[in-house]
Amino acid sequence: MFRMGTTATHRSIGAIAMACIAWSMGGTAAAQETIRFGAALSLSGRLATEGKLVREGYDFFVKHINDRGGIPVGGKTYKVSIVYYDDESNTNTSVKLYEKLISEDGVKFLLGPYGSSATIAVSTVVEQHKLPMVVAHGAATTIYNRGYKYTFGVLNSVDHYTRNIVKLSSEQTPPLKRVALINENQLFPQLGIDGAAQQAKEFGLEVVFKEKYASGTKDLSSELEKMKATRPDLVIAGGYTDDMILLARQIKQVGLKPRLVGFLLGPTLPGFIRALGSDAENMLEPVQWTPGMPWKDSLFGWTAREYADLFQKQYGHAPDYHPPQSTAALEVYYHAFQKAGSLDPQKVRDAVAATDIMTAYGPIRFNANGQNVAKSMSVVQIQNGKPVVVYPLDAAEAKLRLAP
Amino acid sequence: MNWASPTVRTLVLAAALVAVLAVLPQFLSLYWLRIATGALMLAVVAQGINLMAGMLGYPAFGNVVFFGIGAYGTTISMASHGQSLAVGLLAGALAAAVLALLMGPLLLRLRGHYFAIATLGLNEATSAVVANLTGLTGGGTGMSLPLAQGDAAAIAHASYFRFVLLFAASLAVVVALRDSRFGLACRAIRANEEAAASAGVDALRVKTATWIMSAAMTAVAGGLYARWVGFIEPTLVFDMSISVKAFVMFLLGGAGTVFGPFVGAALIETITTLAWSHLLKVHLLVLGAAIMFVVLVLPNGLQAFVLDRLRLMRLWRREAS
Repeated sequence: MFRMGTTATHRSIGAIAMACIAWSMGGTAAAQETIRFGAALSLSGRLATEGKLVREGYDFFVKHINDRGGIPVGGKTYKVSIVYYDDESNTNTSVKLYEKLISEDGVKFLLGPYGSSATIAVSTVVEQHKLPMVVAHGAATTIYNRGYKYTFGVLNSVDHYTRNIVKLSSEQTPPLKRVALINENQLFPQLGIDGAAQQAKEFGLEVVFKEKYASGTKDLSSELEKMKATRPDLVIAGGYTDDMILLARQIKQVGLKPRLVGFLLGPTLPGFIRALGSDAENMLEPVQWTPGMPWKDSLFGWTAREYADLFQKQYGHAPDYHPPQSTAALEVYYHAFQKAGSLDPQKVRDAVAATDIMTAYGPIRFNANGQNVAKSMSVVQIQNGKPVVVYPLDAAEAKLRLAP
Repeated sequence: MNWASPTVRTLVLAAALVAVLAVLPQFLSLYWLRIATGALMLAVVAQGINLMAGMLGYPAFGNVVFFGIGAYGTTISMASHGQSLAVGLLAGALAAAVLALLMGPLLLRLRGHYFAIATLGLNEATSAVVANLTGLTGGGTGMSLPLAQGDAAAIAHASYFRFVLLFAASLAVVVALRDSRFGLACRAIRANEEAAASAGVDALRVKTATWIMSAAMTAVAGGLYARWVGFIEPTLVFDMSISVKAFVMFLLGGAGTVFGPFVGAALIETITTLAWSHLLKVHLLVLGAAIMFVVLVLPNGLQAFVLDRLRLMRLWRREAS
């Protein structure tokens, strides 16, 4: 834990310092009021890589909306700030921190944490307080099917992730028939891989291997040896970044040679290609978003590509889907404030429920469960060290490559 | 009533403590109420460890296994079978007691490190089984309880008071055990198990019975946790850090004492929360330093340390006058 802590600590201290400064300036100047959002993110611990990207996307919105003057609500314009905490990738800490955001810091508008487990636990606290929370990074179906009224997710839920990977596999000539599934025994990966098994049935593939491994496993070679014996054409794996890098590496080590390898997440995260180099070639990931998508933001006027360029300039690295997904959550609030014409949490909640907007991340419209039903997922493949969209065909930037 | 008897004195003190806990929410924000609820929960888990490690001298590191069993027992009865919380807690406690009854005769033959490691293994194994019984437990996807009705403050207070009640019950159990023949047998086993056995103490039975009580107590804490948070998954409720934290609390407060676990829990939760909110990552350092400090400077815990100082002062005054 100490290993990953330093940069995150510096950032967190920086954030707190900034928050203090912002707060004290707000107190003295009083010329312009501020809308405060709140989020506890995995800024250290197991999910720190993802947590950092989430935060960059939230901050990106804050910078650009404040540069434009802020958010106009009912004739007044408000600056925007976000109160952040570090939940250390620990669900219990996360729950405590959302209680703190609400009852100590007085935050009325919540942004989601990172990850399904944290989101599902946190949403209970938020629901009890009857405050809206727009989730940017909780993809588990179980977050949305509990009848909660205050939780809304801008992303596609996890049971839809692998659908296009399975579909494109069935469309090859000859079709890829044998699929092997492996996942970390955790909420998000489990639901994702269960979804893949379901889709395999739907598209006529045969599941020849389906196993899960315990969280914290440091060696997957024995599972992969077993998988190898089943001679799969397609491997689909679910877990978080570190495990997926391990898995990708060990697939090569044990000499497993499927024609395609897909992940719930991994290949498009910046660390993945860096860690694996040429071993990452041809690997697939369903993505919520890429810069190649044909969306144009109705608030800022950016296309997806322009969002990526601006982001790159600001942070020095290209955005994967995490940052725009975060930015989109705040855009939902922006439009809800307009529609509600008020900062009353109940009115804002109702306006969020009626969201129907276009962002650089894609269209957003919620169903009764609070899931975004307007958007679908694309499939990207790592080709020559770069992620390119290969499916659906009308949005494809390159042709799908199969291993021989 | 005999006011000089240690049992009566302890019970009066316990009643006073519970009374203070009962009025405490008046002065706390919902955030601090959540911290206090968590501290009470850990105090009960520490009390369960106290029964095993403090009174018997058996370091039950993996006692969190009963927390997890209790959480799952309660959630399965409530979510899958529509039972009330009371029935759920009972089911969780029963399941944990049965596990302790089955494993006791096996594991309680081991001593010291061997026993500690065996309980760790038991926790890992149980966690793996629960994670793989997908049909019953939801596996890695976890289980949710229906949302509690009422406003946030009412729900938070209800959760807190349930833990106060459980904590009071755990105090009563420890006092009753300490001052009974059974407690005497426990202490005899801690001092010298062979000698106790040769004096006619049925050691295995005493140890198993103690473990069952420890298990049931810890399981109810787990069940109340599930109701409180509303969502459980294996990594959350079989989390070794719960055991480790409770163990530190138990050591800090004072092994084998009635109030030690509470003192430790209150202190550690307050310190880590303050350290966290003001110093961020430093709280891990604080926790680590606290562990080293306790082991090096207060091997008998804070309670013994303070009482010793008081006794010394009294002696010193008597000498001076």
